[in-house]
Amino acid sequence: MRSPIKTLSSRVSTTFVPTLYQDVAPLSEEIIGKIRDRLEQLYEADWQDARQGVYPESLLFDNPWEDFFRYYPGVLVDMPLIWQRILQKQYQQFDEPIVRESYPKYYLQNFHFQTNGYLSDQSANLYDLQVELLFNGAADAMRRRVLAPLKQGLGQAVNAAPHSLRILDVACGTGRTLKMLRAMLPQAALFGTDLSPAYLRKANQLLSKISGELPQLTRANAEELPYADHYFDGITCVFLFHELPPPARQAIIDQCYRVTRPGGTFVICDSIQKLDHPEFAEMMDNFPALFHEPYYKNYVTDDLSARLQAAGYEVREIQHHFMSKYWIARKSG
Amino acid sequence: MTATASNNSFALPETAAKTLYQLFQQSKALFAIAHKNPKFPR
Repeated sequence: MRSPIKTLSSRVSTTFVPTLYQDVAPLSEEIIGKIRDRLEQLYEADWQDARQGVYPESLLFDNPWEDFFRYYPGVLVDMPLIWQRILQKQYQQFDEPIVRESYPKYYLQNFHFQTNGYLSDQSANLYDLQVELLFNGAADAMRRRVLAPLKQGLGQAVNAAPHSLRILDVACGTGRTLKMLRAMLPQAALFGTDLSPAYLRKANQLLSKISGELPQLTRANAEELPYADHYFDGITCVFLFHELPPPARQAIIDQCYRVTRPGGTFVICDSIQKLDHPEFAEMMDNFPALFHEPYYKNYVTDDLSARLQAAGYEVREIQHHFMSKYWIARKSG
Repeated sequence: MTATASNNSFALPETAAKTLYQLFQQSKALFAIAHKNPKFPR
């Protein structure tokens, strides 16, 4: 029997969705089939890396279920506010008192139409759940694709001097990638930066629960990283660059280059791009219409390899997994 | 071959561990699909 809540939610959806998302083109069966294949390939790569000991198999089953069920009602409650924001075209709306001078202008957005953007505890509580919903549960598996190239780039030091390694996760958000890095490199010194105090608080909660040295979390603009030159053996950056205007992309890559030690590795994970996947162009056109992503349209045609090379990096490899693209770069030395 | 030969913390045969992983991913996918599609049967 159909529940009254179900009926109500369907009616609400059919009432609002066509109005809200009229710019969204439906995907063909062929494209949906290709997406499914890529998802299967992602899971196979994830499984194989764990099997081969790149990272512990326990990571494969790590998911914040408690948070998911606790905060899922919050996602539903936030939806009418999101619809209202879409209808009123309000993309820079913040209820909480925010010191605007503390943030770059491009950051003060309701990314994903989220209430208070990235600048509230509630937003930090909902973020991982919303990203997993967006990627049908594959977000963590995509994040884990940075681990193997990073470990490979670190080379012999992983076994010979694991305690001497320093790894930075730029725009660490709620700390999911740092948690994975800790599982793979239990003795390394881990660092994370982010612009959002709320997300750093959430990351601290998550990372405090796991064993090993607590990663050092710092609120910082990645365009001005507060670290000495050549300080890190490895740097990761997941799902940041599509949310940046082009000059900030280059400034952050330049900063990462400055703080990477000679011979160090930089791994970027971000959205697929039109350059490589013209068959998914329609989907990439849909994304900024479904989620407020003001820099995405530029991002999907931006040549990050050229930016990495302009900074001084050597681009060693490009990988593609499911809906993400990975740049593996090395600083000569 | 058992999964204990490598880095397995569950001490399950490989096929069982892989099936468990696939079921885990499917459960997350179903959760997301159920959220996104109002016609999803519950």
